[in-house]
Amino acid sequence: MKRLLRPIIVWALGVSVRVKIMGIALGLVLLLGVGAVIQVQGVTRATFTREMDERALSIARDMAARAADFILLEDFVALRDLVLETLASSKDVRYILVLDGRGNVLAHTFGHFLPPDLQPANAGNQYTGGFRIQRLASEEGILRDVAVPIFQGRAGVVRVGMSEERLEQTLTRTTQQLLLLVAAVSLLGVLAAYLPTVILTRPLLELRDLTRAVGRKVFSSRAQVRFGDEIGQLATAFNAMVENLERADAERSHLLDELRVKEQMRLQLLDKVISAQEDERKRVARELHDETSQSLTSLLVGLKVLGSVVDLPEVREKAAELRALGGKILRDVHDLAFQLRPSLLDSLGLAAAVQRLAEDYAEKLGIHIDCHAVGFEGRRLPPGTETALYRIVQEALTNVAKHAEAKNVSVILREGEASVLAIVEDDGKGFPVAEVMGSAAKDKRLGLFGMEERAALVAGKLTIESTPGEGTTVFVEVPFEQ
Amino acid sequence: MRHLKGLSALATLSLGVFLLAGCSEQDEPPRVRLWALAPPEVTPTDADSRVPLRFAVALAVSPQEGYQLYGDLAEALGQKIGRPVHLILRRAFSEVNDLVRSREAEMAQLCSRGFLQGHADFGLTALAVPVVNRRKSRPSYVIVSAESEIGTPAELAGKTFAFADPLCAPEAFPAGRGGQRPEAFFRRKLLITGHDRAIRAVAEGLVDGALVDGLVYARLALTDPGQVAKTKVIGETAPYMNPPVAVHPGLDPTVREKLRRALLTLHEEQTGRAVLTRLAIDRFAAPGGEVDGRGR
Repeated sequence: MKRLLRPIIVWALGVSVRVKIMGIALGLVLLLGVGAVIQVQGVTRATFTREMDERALSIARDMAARAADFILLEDFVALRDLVLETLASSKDVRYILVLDGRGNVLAHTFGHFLPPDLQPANAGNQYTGGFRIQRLASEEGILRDVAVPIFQGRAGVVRVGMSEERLEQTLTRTTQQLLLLVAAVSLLGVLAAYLPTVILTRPLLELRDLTRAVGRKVFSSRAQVRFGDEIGQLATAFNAMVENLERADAERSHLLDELRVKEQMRLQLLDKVISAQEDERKRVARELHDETSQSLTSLLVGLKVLGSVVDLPEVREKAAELRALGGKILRDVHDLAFQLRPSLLDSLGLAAAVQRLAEDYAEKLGIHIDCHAVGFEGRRLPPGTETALYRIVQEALTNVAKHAEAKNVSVILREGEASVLAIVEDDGKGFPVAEVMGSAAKDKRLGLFGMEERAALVAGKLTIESTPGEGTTVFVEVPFEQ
Repeated sequence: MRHLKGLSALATLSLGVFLLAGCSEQDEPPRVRLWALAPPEVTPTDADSRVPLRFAVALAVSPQEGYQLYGDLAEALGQKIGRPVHLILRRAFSEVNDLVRSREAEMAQLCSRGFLQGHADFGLTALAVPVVNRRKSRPSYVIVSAESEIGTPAELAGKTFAFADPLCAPEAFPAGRGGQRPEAFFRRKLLITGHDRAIRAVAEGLVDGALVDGLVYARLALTDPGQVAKTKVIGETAPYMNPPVAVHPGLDPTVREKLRRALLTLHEEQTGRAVLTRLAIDRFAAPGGEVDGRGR
């Protein structure tokens, strides 16, 4: 049964909502109609049968009362007349039989002969309520045989046979009319269900189309909210969802664009790093070749010359020159090494290295640079964090040197509980930050981007505040674990 | 899915209720063939092979009342003569006379006028005469409603009046002594079959008055005193013989003697006395001179 029902249920649940609603309406009307037909049939049959029994009983009792004298007086002609007259004047009466106390037929309505099965049918001496009813099946349909005793049964019994033919005809007619009515009401029901179905399903179909559009990333359309019902609420929620999706999509696009730009910048930075590395190598090579190598050559030549000098004062003088040359070579090498990697950063930490950097720049640029370090108290940060902060400060000071035309610069390092903050502030000419950051000129923003990248590598955040004519402040905050 | 199961159960239940509502009387009834006709069956009579003695009675009361009264008498007589007595009821004494004359009945009880006619026609012979209140004769009564202001038969002039049996009734109505026929005397004259019914018609105000048999009136006073109390007697006819029990003159003398003895001794037995009491008869007596017409 389940196996048979399942595909039907699956099919029924799979049809469109319109078909479902109209199907429900039609099903309900049909169910009610069929129920009403069955109920009306039952009630009509019961009422008709009861009324027929009452009529048969009335006829039979009247017959019994009138036939008693004829039977007792043996006036069978009058009895037969009475029987025939009653048959002629009574509706639904198929036959009347009058039998004596022994069951012999005294009068009947069949002419000379009698149906053989009828005489013994509904026989007996027991009467409930003064009568006895027996249903009989015949070629003409169901008969209701009502027996009433005559003169307490001493003069016999009257049997009146009522035909249910008219009942059946009435039932058939009533059923046909009801079925026609059900068909008409079903049609009306379907028509009546169509309009609300269309009203109900139109927003759903719209939502379906909109959902497909959203699936294609078309966010421009919105569902129409007609009423405040559940479908209206669904449309409102749908619209809110589409707005969120649209916003998220825009944000995503924006982020993608940013990512794309950053990727490009990163590539450029990488390129610049590589070229800077090459440039640095070239510079170191040039420095070594042009300066250190020349100085060493001079030193060798000086030493050679010293070997040929015999005069001691001259030797002493030459040795002093050569020592001064050696000292210069040593300083040059020391500068070169410092430029490559400040050893202070490794040996004394960020605060000392930055202090030294600030002093170098102040000396180089001839400007006043204040440097304050707060809260370090001998503690060291992770080497990556120290390097990143050092390079960011170095880049900021380079930018001051290149672009700011500042007179005073302030460098502040402050170590907090879980982060370290570096601030480089100048009173230079400043610049429009947003404009420069959004500019297509690579060289203008590559340094700033490099600072951001360095900060990002150590999970820090870099912020630049600047207004043209009012100086620039670079904030960089880097978190660290204790 | 649970909901679906609940819904299908509900639908099945509803359908069942609907179907059951239309299903009463589903048992298969016995079959009869209405179109196959045959002669009616005749049930054989009782095993008693004795030839019954046919007792015809000219009714002064309704057939049902007569069947009850004379049915008991016939049975009591049958027991006494050792032979079943078959009761034949007729309304008119002429029919009873015809039955006896044609030997379709051996014994009869009929009004005195009928008897005299049968006696004259074919020698109908009286066996016994009922004694009521120690008399073999009685009058007919003129009765009116107990609430009626009519006090004498003469006051019935222009009223509706019922005769129970015009053939047995006296030829002259007591009020018509001036030789006036009933049709002229009464506003309307009705025939009501059965003296008991005539008494009821007066009691219920259907007619103003009626001439009823004295014996029936006396018996009804015993069996239905309430009905009789609604009437009053305002006149009576001259007495005439109580309805005799008579036989055909050609009846086997042995049978006749048996019958005569049975009738005359009926009151001597308890069963017989009970039957006679219901008939309001003291006893049956041998007929005297009244059977020759003197007791009219």
